[in-house]
Amino acid sequence: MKPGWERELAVEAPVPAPSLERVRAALAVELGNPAQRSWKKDAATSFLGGLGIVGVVGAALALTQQLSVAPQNVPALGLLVATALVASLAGAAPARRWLQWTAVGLAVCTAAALVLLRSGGQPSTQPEWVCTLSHVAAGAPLLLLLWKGLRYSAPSLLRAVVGGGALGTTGALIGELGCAQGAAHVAFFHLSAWLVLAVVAGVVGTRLQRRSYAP
Amino acid sequence: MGQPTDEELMHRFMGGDGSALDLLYQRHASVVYGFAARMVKERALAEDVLQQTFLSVIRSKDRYTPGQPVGPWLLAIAANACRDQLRRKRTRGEVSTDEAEALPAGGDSPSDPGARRQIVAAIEALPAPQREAVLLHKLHGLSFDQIGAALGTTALAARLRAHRGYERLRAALASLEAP
Repeated sequence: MKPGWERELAVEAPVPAPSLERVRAALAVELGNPAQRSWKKDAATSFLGGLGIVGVVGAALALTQQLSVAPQNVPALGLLVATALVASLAGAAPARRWLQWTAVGLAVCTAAALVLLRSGGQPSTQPEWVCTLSHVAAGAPLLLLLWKGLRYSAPSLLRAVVGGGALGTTGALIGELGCAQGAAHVAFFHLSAWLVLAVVAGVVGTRLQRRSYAP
Repeated sequence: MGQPTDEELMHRFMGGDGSALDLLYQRHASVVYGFAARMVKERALAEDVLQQTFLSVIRSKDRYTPGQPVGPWLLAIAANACRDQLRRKRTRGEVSTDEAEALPAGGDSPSDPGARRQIVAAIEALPAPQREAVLLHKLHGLSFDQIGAALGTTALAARLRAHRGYERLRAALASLEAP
């Protein structure tokens, strides 16, 4: 015979009839005007929105003859685009922890590559923190969209950080196009912006009032 | 023709058939409510969790993977909603004052009300992650793989949480099991 506590656990829990009907009525209202959200659209918005911002800034840099893309930047640019794609998917897709950890691993490898692939560097007339500020600003508009999307899934620190990491690639890409300073500058002033976006996305993203708790 | 499976109903709902959701609600409301009542320890909050669970199905139906078992998916949603409710309750500094009342009683309950109170207290005294794992495993028959997926952790971590929960329950209820 099962111990008493196991029998107790097996006791069924009838829902009180008024509760059952109240919830049913709420569901009927929601079905009449559903506030649905597609994670695929959220992932696409994060990825394509980031690339769009990079495109606009890149065009502005080209027009003002400040574009500084060297052949050695190409692998870093490729890695950043790949990271943006994987992290955008992982930050929005339902319950795929392996994909989220893949995105984290890829982001770490890409961050290391950004520093290691930088050659000597050229001095700039602007203060170094301008890069940090502009990179955060480049990802910030998409942060609001990320948070809106996160409200439609269960709170998850990893998902929110990965989503923020996807947005951080926007600033990092701009850094590869418009900044020719050395490896130490990239390590301290570019990667910090990336980290700030990931941390802010994580801290705020897990505390948002949820519209859905689906994994 | 037999009854449609949960997965068939979910497929119909994803295709726009709202009545399929009502059938799913009829089938799973008591399971979700029972789990929520044991997790959040208040009837009103359990009703909120029940509502949030099915609203989540409507709002995030594209987060359901076709063919995935619906019952464990609903319990995963409910577990997430319970965790958020408990976190908000802690933030507000609220303490449940009517815990034993919140748990459902049924025909198979131990006849001794004192024993029942002791069992209820022991279950509710478990830390939320252990209570969650024990309830999903013992009450709802989920595998540790399914529990891990539901709780956003690994199967091994889910097994450990449940194991620690069982150990605590056995220790707390040793006197009830003695002949």
